[in-house]
Amino acid sequence: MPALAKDDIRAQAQACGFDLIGFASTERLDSRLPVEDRPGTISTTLKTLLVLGKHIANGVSGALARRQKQFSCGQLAQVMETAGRELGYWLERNGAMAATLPALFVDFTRELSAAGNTPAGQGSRLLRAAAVESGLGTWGLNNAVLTPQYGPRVYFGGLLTNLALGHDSPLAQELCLGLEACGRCAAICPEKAIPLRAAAGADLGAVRGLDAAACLKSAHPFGPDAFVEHFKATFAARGSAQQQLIASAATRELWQGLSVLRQGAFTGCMECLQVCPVGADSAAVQASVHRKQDFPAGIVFHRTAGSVAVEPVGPQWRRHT
Amino acid sequence: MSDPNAAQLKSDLKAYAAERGADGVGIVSVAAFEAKVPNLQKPSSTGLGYRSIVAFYRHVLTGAFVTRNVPLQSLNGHLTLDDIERLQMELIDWLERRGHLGVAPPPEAAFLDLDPRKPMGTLDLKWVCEEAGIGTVGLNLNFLSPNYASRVYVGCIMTDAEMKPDPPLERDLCPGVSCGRCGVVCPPDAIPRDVALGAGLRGYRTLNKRQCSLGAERIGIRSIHLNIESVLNSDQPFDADAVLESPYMRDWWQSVNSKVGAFAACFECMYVCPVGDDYKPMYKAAERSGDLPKPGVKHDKQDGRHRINWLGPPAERVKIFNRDSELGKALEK
Repeated sequence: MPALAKDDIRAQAQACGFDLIGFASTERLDSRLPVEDRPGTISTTLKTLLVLGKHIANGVSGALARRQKQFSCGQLAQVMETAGRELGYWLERNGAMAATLPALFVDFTRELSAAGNTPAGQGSRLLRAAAVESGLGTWGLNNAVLTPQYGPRVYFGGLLTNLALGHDSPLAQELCLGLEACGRCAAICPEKAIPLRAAAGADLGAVRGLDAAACLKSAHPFGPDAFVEHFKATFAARGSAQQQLIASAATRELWQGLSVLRQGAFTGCMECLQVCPVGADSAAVQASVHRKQDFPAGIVFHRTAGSVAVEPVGPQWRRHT
Repeated sequence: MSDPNAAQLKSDLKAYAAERGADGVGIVSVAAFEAKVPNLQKPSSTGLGYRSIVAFYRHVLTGAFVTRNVPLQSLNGHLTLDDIERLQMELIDWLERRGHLGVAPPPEAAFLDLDPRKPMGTLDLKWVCEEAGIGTVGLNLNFLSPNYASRVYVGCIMTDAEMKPDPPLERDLCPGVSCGRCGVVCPPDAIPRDVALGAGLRGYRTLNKRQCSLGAERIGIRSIHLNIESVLNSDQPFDADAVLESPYMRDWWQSVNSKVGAFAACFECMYVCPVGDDYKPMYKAAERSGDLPKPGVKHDKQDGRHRINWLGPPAERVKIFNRDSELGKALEK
């Protein structure tokens, strides 16, 4: 077994363009994750999951046009795939074994839909859980991973390796402020997929959640699930309604998501990421012209005896149309 | 050829290719290769004026082969293919900066221009690589490299730079039916298992490509044809919801989006090939135990024939290969 140390790998990961790297033992992940997400079902020879993070550019997080952002985030996912592969080959040149772990690819022989990739396009359930377990961040109200450096404005990729490198420690404190103290992600969510109501004083762990099926309508607007639903509706329609569906913009968008945007098919929404006040980058992102307009009336809370609710605002693109 | 500049160019080019990730690089004479090719997959089909072919290969990350996850392996395969294309562009750029022309034959795409009945690449890269002396073609028509066997992807560029060709390897790396492991496990039974006794590998190596495609391209174009046929030929009334909700449809979406499943989707013959420096550590992994189901390879040598048995892949992987009528079956549920 080669004598690569964590610091060597960390330095190489940075040279490949990654901002964050965490080391997660697959044995430890197996003991903590539901069976469908356990890396031990993939391999027991590969003992460590390197969790690789790269942030979404501040210019993207601060921008307005959601399609521009979808493209940029798809581009980021593609760049990360290439960079992860480079790191994998570097590990192998140094005598280790490595395999790229898919970040947004869905194994439909095991999953019924692509909802596991939500929220936004941060990465698979396994990668997000490994990011938390390896101390890169903590779970947010919306099941995104919030990091000290970039809040949730970071995507995750992964490499499995046979190197036994030890497990990084999880962060000791939650980064997410929660619904009652913040609630921005819940208020902006286009699909009301993030909890909007909680018991007063409830722990974040008791409140956090995501309606993944709702989220993917915006996160994957023309992804595989939308593809199936669109054509089911098309076959079910009759006459001119059917003709309209066939010739609709959705049909064209589906084709584009499928063949041109590639990973971008899974990066259709980043509303909850861009409004999050956590992260060293937050001041720069929130200073953008467009981010200042996300909540014209601020976050409105409705507090009643024993509970608190956040008033949904929705994304700017919906308010403007 | 004794041109010292050509020798230096070749040496520098090989060093650059290795630095950029090629695990093996060899040079082929365009004229010599052109004369050997029996069909239109020859250099002149792309254009005239090229003198050398630079052939190379790059291994798939070895860690991918110690997993149980076939889509993950396929994704890693496609990432390697992306690297092959990157290497092609980098080598052409390197040559152009030295005053030479280069062109990159597509490593994956198959066209119908050369023969409307058979999709094929502009060059058959496995033969190019064998000619370049960087490996040999095996029983199943996979290219085998000395260090990673067939667990590699191959590419080449053609250039007007004249470089001394490398000699082909003197011995085949593949033992042929005397090993026979790939033939025994091949899910669609596409690899030769009945050959003339005593014949040399080069006399019988072949592949039933249509059969192979059912495993290697199981959500690819032939699979789509067969699935559409299975719907059209079904006795059941058409039910759009049942067809569209079949896992095949989402997998099809993803095979177009990512290429995973469209091709490079079956690795059974790669798992069991004992050639290559990487085989021993891979074979020892728990994930690879049971790849060759019991009783293993059985040889039957009689009547002037050498036959081997067929077992197919391990039972737990059989189901992932039969996807050619999934949409039709969805109507029966």
